[in-house]
Amino acid sequence: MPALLYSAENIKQFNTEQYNQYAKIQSWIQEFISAEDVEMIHYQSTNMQDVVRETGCDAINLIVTRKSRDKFINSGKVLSLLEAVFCPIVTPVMIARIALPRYDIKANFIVIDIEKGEVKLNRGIEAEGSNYEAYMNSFLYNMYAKMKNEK
Amino acid sequence: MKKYIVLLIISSLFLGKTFAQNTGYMGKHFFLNAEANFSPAYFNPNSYGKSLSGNLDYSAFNFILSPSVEAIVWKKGTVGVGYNFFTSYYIADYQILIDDEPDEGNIINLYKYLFYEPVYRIKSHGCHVFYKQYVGDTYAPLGHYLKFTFDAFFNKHVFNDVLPDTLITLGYADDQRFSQTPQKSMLFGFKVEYGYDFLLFNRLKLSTGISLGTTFGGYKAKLNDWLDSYGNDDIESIESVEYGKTRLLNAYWFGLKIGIGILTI
Repeated sequence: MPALLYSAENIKQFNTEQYNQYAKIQSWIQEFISAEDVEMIHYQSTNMQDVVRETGCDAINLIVTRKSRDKFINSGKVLSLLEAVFCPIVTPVMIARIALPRYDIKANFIVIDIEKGEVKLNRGIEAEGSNYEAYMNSFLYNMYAKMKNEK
Repeated sequence: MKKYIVLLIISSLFLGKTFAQNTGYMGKHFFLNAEANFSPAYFNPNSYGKSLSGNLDYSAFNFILSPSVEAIVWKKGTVGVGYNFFTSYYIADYQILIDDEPDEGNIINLYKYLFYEPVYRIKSHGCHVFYKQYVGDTYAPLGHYLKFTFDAFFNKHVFNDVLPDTLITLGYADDQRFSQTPQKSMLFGFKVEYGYDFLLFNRLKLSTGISLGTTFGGYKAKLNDWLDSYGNDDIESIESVEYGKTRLLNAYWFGLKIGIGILTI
């Protein structure tokens, strides 16, 4: 599936023309969010028509994520500590488990039709644990697989 | 051809709806696992003959090795099949009559018995099948899970001690209990495990868990000891095989699992 990727890293490499295009998209997104579910012709639509013409894209895919640290002491770590004391052979593994930081993650995968301004797909995930990268990889993979299947 | 603009934003916008997941992890469904269940050997000698009570070895442990193949069958569950291996020393407890001098009234002449506690070794090969249900917000093969396992153990019990001269003189050298020929037995078990699967590099699974279960057998020797302690003299000496089953039960009922797995296809 061909796509133009705008990430925090990519933006640092942009030239003026690419950044202007990105700014137009950002403006459109801000307006889209402000409008919430109200059906209307967006003020920024003209700018987006330019983007569509320049890029050939017909949809925007927003990947929205939030990651926050879980509290350090929790039931999982208490259990690991007990196991480490109870049976010394497993102590190194349990200490590693205790040391791993835990995170709460939330993510949404949104696909918006640029011209109509309607949300075609909006799915989310909420999870907690040390495994957040794998959760995110799995979530994104499944969303793209779903889009590919429905294309 | 359709093109999409992909935009990554770190914020908390648009959160809320859950998503429907395809089966598997990034298109892959099968794991090759190498797992081991450990438990403390506090009261019985383990595979290298050590225990906390016998050798003051706090670190002495029992182990059951269980490599397996696991398949993700739906978004919240996996099934698998694998091999089991267990080995340990154990001690049987025999009370052998060596003198037929009659008891005097209520006074039992203990000298006519030889209390013999020979060491045996049990080696078990077997198989297991399991179903793993992932709990909470995450999907197979990530996060917290409950695992239900049926195990089968096919055991060999070998006498691993030196027979005392007294028993050799009395002709016990040919007794099956003290023979070098292995005795065979079979034991089944069921356990429930709570654990956590961690995936590294989208390929390498690290797994820890804690399990409780029981074998369907192995209680006879324990029951015998318990009845003896209440002065029940009618209980016959039980065979070394039963002590071996009890030893397996002792290592099986509680376990701390450490595992590693490779996501294949």
